[in-house]
Amino acid sequence: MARQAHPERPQSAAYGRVLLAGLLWALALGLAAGWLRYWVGLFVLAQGAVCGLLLAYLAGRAGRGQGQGPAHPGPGPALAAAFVWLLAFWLGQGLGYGLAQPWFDAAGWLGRVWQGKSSEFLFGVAATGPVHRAFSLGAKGGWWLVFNLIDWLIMFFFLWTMPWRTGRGRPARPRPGEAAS
Amino acid sequence: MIRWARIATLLAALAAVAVIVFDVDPARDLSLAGRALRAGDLDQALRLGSRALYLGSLDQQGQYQARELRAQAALGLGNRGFALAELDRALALRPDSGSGLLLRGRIKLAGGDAAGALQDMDRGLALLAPPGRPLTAGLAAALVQRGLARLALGQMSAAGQDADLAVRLNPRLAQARYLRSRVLDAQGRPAQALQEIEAAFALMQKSPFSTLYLSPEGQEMTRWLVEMRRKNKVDLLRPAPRPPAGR
Repeated sequence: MARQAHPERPQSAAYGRVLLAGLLWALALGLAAGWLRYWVGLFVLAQGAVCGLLLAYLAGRAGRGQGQGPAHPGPGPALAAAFVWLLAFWLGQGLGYGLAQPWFDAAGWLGRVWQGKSSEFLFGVAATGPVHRAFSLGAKGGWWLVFNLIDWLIMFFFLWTMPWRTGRGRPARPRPGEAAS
Repeated sequence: MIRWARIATLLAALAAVAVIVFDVDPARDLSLAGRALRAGDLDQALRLGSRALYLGSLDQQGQYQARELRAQAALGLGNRGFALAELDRALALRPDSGSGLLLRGRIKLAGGDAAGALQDMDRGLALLAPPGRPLTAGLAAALVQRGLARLALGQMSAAGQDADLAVRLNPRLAQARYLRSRVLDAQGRPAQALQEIEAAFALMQKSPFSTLYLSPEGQEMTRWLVEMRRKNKVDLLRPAPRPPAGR
């Protein structure tokens, strides 16, 4: 696929805008998701899907500005950007979770869940019969990681693939006086 | 098409979250919080207690229960300040709660306020076992705590009385033997103090699934055993004697 750069709008600026907007939105969404996660519980897949879709859409929109947005930067940079956004989302989520707690102890909680001393309520899973009995007070340790990995994977997939323009799209409209290429 | 799919997914998830957030059943949350506390999941107990308190509409008794649960969980998680503040709020709702007063006394004692602890424990015990009503085995642990507060204030004879009463009410309570050991040592009888703390450890061995060893209380008992063995010039690595069978 040939990359089409607009002559008057450098691609790097658009990439920077996408990255920065994604970073800020990731923090904000993470904050909200972490806060909800404390009070409600983790809805496996739904959280990843909603936050991934929303974040990818918002980041992509910031890059588009008035026009079509920057061309796909290639799988490597897209992967790196998705990873950075996911990290920012995790950071925001940790902050949101900690702020919802009676006192900020997100890292302590994470350690206790990982050690199996505490659990997290997974209401998507707990809503189904047999699984409900197994995870009636939530998941901890390795199971907690498995459910979170599922959620992060779906989110990562959206962040990797969605914000960037793929395909040829509509050709740039020639300016008056310019010959269409 | 993709755009509509995105919007539909978002709306469906928001609707699901809204249903679950607004469908809070405080009674169920309180019951689950109690279950989590008994299972040792303190974070979950704290979270569910908070949910019941802030997202549901509880009556005064429910609010008291939620606050006491939160205080117990916070104490287990090591946040003594929060636990104390939460119990103050709980006791403002129900000043005549014996269990709340005993718990606050325990927290004050752990924070070094022995006089305040003793005041709360005296009141709590008076409410739970009014004059004329016999003391039950369930109060033995509270008597040990009061004995420790008295010990910290130098009231040796009263602390000894609490220890003896606690042992009589619940002979299997290792902490009661520990208190007795502390009192005997303070009275200048280290050999008998050693016997008592060894007996406490024998009782701990009797219940292999006990997590007392891991608690701060259990760690303090271990420290005391080492100190007593050192004082009596006894091998520090000697295993604790086995308790008599059937006790």
